[in-house]
Amino acid sequence: MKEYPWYKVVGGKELFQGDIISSCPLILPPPMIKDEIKVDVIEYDVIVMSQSCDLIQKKLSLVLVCPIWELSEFENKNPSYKDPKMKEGLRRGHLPGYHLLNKCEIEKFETDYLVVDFRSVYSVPFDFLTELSRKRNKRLRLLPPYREHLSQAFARFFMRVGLPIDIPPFK
Amino acid sequence: MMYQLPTQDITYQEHPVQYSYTPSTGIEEIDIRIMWDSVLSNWIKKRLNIPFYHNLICFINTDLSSILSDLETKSETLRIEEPMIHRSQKTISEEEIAIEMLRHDFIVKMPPKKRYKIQVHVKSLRKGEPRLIESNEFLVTE
Repeated sequence: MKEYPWYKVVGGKELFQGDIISSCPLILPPPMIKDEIKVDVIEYDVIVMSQSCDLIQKKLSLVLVCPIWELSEFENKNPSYKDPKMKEGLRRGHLPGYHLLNKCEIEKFETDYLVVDFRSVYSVPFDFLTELSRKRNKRLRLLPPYREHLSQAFARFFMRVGLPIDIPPFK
Repeated sequence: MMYQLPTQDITYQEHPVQYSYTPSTGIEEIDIRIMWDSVLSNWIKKRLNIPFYHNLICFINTDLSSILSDLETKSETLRIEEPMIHRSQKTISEEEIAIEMLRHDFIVKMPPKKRYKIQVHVKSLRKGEPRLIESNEFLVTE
């Protein structure tokens, strides 16, 4: 299926859903805001989750991003995923909260399988992220239909509803 | 808003879909049920692909591996090239996956790649205001 590649390499500051930004800094605000504060900054490799149409039309001031991990890092953190059955569950989309992306084999942009973490969603100022993308120069972009598939998986995760009181089962 | 069950598109008179999903339950329980629904859905789809004469197969002394080799469950992510299962190995069944997933804690809390502190001077503090967006027609092409 060479005609449906998963990724392509892009440059410039035009952002699309599925763009992968490496080492994106995210600021964690402290509980109290004063004139001078020390804030924590964390860095993740992230994938853009906001819709491409909103990004192109500049209709967002904040861009939604989710952290991504190489599958090998994921396995090291939770050895359960070293079991092929767990990885198969991940690949088949049985695990809400995670989404598996294919390996990238483009020269100089090779990656392992990537795991998108829907449980950690961050929003980054649009102008900041476009400038960061421009500075990073080349980056990977997830291509259709795989990025729509990613978006659908995110929607499926996000639309879950948990209610505190259950209706008792009928007997 | 309710979770759209993946099994709802399956209608099969002899195998009605029966699931214990209720809209009011805890998120963890929903996650487990989503996994089971997904597994069940794939299993039912696989059953639907088996021809009617399948029940007779048990009376025939034959090598089933050659007949059933094309009954692999089709999922949306099936085209991810799969080094995880070597071709020589048996394909992992939906049941095996489900059992394995329920045995383990599947949530992974990954630490950031880097963490540091910065000193920030707060210039102003103001209440945010809604940003009004006018809708217009557009077409995204790439």
